[in-house]
Amino acid sequence: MFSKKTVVIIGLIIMIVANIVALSITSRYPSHEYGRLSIFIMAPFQDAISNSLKFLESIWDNYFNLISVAKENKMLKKELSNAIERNNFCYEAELSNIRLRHLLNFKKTLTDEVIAAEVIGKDPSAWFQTIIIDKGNADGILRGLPVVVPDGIAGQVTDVAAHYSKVLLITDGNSSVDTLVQRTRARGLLQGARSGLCILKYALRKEDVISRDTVVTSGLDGVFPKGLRIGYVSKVIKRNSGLFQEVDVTPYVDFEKLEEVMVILNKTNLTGIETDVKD
Amino acid sequence: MLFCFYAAAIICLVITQTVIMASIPFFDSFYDILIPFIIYLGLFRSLRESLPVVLLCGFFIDGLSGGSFGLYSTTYIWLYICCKCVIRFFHAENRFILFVAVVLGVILQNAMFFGIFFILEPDGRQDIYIINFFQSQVICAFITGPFLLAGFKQVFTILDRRLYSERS
Repeated sequence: MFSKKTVVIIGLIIMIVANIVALSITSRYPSHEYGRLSIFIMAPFQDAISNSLKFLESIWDNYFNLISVAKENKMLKKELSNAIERNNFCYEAELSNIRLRHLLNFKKTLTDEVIAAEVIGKDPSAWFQTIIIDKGNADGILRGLPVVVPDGIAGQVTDVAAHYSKVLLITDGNSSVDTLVQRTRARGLLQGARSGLCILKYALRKEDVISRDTVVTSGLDGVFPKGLRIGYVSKVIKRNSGLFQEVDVTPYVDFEKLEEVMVILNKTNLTGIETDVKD
Repeated sequence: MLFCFYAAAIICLVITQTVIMASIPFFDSFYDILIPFIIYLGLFRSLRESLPVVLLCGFFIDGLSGGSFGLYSTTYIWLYICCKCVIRFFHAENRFILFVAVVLGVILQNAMFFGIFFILEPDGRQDIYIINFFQSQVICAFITGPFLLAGFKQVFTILDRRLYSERS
């Protein structure tokens, strides 16, 4: 009845349509059992390789950089390399001490219960902005919990395996945070823009928003506690028509250098989150 | 042995992509290194042997990625289908095909991402960052793609030889 060519074309069209329908269904459900299984299998390898890389990096920093110095100072080679190696080790320890104290001080300023976690992997593509952290269900992490660093908020837990979790960063296109402009209390919805920046949506034209204004969480989304810093306004465009103004926000957090994060475990306030995300 | 090899290859490629390349600033805008692997499987390996590997690659990357579940599986499967169609008309060893295959694979993946984002989020903002990212991916694929394909070919030649000697 139909030629082979027609059958192939119809088959292709059916496959493409089925594919798009399947993707639009899965895009409505950000978390999957399959995704968790994938994290469960891959994250231990990521953890091991990530730790090995950090170890190699420290060897590189502490030892190999000193080789040229040691060559120039043959007479003092042994003493000098030992001294510098020890010095570098102390410096690394000091830096990590400062960083952890910084985290600890930040932890004290938070009234909520928090848990520190290390970043062990990043998203396979620059199209999406997620990270994998080394804390999971066993540590009390739940889906939907907010993730912060001393500089500001980082994102939200979207998938949890036993000992690892996936965090959707605020710069991802799928992320939304209810926010306020700190100076004028203008409200808006902060969305990721896939370029390391965020866009403040639905900020009314009549609201006073200028460059360098600080944007903070409003607490109205039921995920992030109120008043946490997010970023500063880097560009404001008010068009002649339209209800809203276009506002670009640069996050305070440098997501390229994210090494440790804190997950807020305020279970009393966030009990609804797990079900919200499921829905 | 073949199963162990594929399991190790998938783990190595996924870890390289998500941990090693992510920690080196230069590789920030590098293309998906599973693309040459999928292309190699599509061009040179049998359907029965390679299709489960393609599905597993998609499954793992989908699980670790922030995109919709199935997005990477979709791109890998279509890439694989394209490769299988190409070898119906051209010889898989054709040098021109090997030279441009990875570039075309990267273009196909990005085009599918663009298309799917356009369908799922018609009002989403696709800024200049994505264009720059796409450009650098294509350049990287043009420079390194043929070498990666040749590398996979070399590794599989050694594997085939070992499998053959085991059997005989």
